[in-house]
Amino acid sequence: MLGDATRRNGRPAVTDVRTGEVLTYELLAKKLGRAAAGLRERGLSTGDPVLVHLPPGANYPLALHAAAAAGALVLPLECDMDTELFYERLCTSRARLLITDAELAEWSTSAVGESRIRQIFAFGDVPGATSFCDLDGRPAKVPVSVAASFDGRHRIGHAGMVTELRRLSREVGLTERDTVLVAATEAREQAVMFDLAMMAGAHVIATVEPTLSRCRELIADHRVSVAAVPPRLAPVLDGEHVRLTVHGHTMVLVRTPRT
Amino acid sequence: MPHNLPSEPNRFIGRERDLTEVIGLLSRHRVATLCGAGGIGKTRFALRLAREVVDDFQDGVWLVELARINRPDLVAHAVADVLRAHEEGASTLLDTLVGRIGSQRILLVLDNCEHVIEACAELVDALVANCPGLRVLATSREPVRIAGELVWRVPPLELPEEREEIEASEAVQLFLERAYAAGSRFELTTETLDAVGGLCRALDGMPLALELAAARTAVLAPEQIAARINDRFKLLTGGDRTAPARHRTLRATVEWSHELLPEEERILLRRLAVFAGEFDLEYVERVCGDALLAPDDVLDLLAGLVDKSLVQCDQRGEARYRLLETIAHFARERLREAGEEEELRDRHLRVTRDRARDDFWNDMLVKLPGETRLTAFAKVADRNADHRAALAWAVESGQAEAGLETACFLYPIWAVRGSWLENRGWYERLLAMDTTDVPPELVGEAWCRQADMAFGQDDLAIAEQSALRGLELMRTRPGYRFALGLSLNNVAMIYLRTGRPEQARSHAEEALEGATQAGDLWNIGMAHNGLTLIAGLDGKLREAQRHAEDALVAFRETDQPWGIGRALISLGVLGRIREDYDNARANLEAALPYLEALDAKPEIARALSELGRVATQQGDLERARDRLVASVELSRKIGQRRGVTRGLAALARVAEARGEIESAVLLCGTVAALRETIGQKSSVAWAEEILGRARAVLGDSRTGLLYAHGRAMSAEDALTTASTAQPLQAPVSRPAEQVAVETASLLTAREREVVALLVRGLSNRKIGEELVISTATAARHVANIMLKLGFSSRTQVAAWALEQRIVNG
Repeated sequence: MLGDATRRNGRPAVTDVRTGEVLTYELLAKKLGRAAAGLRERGLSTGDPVLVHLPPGANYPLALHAAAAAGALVLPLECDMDTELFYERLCTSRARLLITDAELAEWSTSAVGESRIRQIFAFGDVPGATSFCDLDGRPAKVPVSVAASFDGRHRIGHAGMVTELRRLSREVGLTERDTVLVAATEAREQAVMFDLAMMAGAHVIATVEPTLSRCRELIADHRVSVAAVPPRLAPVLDGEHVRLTVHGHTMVLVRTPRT
Repeated sequence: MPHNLPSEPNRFIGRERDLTEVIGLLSRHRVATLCGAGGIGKTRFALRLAREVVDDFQDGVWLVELARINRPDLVAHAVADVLRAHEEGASTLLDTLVGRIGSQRILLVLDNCEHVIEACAELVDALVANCPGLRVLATSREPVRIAGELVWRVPPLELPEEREEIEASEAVQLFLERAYAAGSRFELTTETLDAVGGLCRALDGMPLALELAAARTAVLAPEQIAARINDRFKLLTGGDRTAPARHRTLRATVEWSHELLPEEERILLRRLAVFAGEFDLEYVERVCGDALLAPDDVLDLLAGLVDKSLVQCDQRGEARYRLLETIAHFARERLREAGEEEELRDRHLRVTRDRARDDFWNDMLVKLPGETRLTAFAKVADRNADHRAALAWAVESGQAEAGLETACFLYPIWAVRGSWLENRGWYERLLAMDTTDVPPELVGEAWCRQADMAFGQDDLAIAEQSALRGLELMRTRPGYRFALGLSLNNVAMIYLRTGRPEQARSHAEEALEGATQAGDLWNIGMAHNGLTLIAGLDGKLREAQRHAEDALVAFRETDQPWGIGRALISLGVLGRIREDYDNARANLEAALPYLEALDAKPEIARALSELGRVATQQGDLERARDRLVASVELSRKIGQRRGVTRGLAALARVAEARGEIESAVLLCGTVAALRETIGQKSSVAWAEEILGRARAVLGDSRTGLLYAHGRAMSAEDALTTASTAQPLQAPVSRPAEQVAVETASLLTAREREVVALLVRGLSNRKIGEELVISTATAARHVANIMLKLGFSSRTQVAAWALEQRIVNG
């Protein structure tokens, strides 16, 4: 998926609006390998479920792809998930590892106490968690069987993921020249938009503040060409509205008018 | 490999992958904390893990149980107790522990840290920073929160999800294993399996809950148990919705299991909460037995509680019992509810005092075969947690007399173990209480014992002041008695150390006279021991010899290995001074088996050191070196830096005599640095002499540099240098160049890169940028380089590197 990443060198992959951080493709590829190896060294085995509980931002693709590259069954969770559902997902997934960040940690670690999570990795300083950024393993060949699950029950295998992404990629038609706003927090939408953008080499503008005014401002400031926003905002944004079915879920993308 | 792990009470089930995973992680992380709720099996998992890795830790895997510790300042003492690190003089216990562990490969298992979490964090932080071979495995409900800590959350046992998984699931396996062990006979039909699976799910896979339930399967079917626990659970969840589910499950199970107990077992269970550590049957009978609970029934009741998994039993040797922390907590609540807590704590204090008194007389006076005495000694030492609990209760409840008696009876144990700091604290806390109604001679005795603890810490001014105050109070009761003899002998030692031999002699003689009249062999021996030193220091060797022989006779009479060993060492030292080396060696070697049987490491180290000096005098330099190395090694292991310094000093002289002048200079440097660290002030003329002769052979600059290297060396490295040194073959023709090569090799490749940048005058920040490391890391490299080379400024390093052509400027 990120096969071309190193060739894209210093091009920006994600701009994290909240922190102002810009992650380049080169850095992403470099950090990814080390983090994936670090996860393996910390006990992750092929096929182990890993929960990724992060808002749209620079850390998101890093966590998602590092876990996948380490051979995990990746379970992306909505960052604004309801507590009951979150707890249920923790238990039914039998996940051993959770990746989160400092903002979500206080809320998520209290629920973890009741689950089968053995280790927590976090972006930022979180007591009782290992710093994700300190994961610095020696990259090694891993028997990859990339797979994901969005409901904790049904697993989507490597082939299924790739087929689905290729199909969506044809429908959306992103290129290196695109700038994509990701303000959607629905697990499938968030994961797929990052994947599609990374595959195409596009630049993602990620925000955790999905208000109408903020989205309009970001679209203008960053010359966003495609926007993935919460369903309530999509109809009021100007541009062409594209309906997509992602792993059985329907979402609406906004292709902004060319300036 | 050495360890103190308890034997496993039954088969460990499940968690195989977790074990493999954490063992792997433990090889990469120096501190790992197993976190999880009470009853989830943290301790059992940690012990299993520790057992699996015993072979990886050549210097031992040591379990420190902290559940019994009730004050944060006692955490370090608990670790020191287990590692047998003896406090030394005025040094902090932390320094002693660092010295004791050094670079040994040790795994420390700290069990139940949650209630003293900050003290644990501080201690572990400091130990890990200073002891490169140390790893720590902690169990706690919360993370310990120190840098680099691996937090690993212990989950409940795997539960069956599908019907066909039931029998193979970990929770069901554990339940069945324990149920059959408890004597249940149910057949594994599909229905029973379904019921067991349901029960395990209801119990959330919590091992402790599963064990408690399984213990009841001889009389109740799994379905019945599930239904009853469910009723309990509903009762509990009626009110409190905030308690975590697993906590409620466990609570319901413990309450249910408790409800099923016959009344007498319930009474016993709650009363057991009064014990702080492991307890034996006699202790339980004496503390818990009364009109309500006949002492004769205690054994059967205790066995009943063991069968129901509410009490743990260690059957190695004499049976010892203990409560798991979760159960102990529950039992304490019941004890309080029953309104018995105060009475039981009083009884615990009284029985603990009486046992300490019986042990005191046994240890000090009664003639016992060596083995029996050792076992008795170890048993008293094992009750340390209960001694602490009893003394704390005496202070809390204002029972000065019982507290002071207990502390005074415990004195011999405390003195031999050398745990000065903590135990001085006990005397001080008790003496600060209202003692108006306490017999003055008891108060006086406590002051004298406090003085002896202060003496052990080298706090001579306080020692003298307290001892004289105590002696005055003790003399308010006329006539000689054992406790007075002990005080007189201690006062004599204090006077000797403070440079007043005449007062020392008069007190020792008074002790000797009183003890002789009373037939008190221990104090006769101690008085002769003191008089040996007094006469020896006065140059009266014949008199000293006579006293040492008399001490030996007295200690042999009671078969006191410690006294015998000490008297034999005295005879050995006197032999060396008289230059009767064969006699000296014979006595010193005879002392070793007595001291080894007691594991009295400080005295063994002293005997070995003396043997080294004797061998040096006899010209047997090979043997001298071996003995001294063994002595230093031992002192290092118990954190006795005075012993290390003395031994290394003797090794420096041996090295010079062997023609290993470079090694001798290095050792002089190490000894000098160590003396400064611990504030030792005796003469160093011998070192000046060695250095003077070295300058003549090696030249000023080389001697200076070797000395500086020696100063930066650890005691351990110095020891390696001393044991592998080779005599200097030929005079050094080009000292400067050779030093440069040798010195440079002390630096790592990275440090040499840093030196090169220092030569260019770069700041830490610039060095950091150049080498792509942080400024802090660059600063650390610079500091290490200066330390290794013995320089105090970066300019000195740069100048030296240029001069010695370490780098091209």
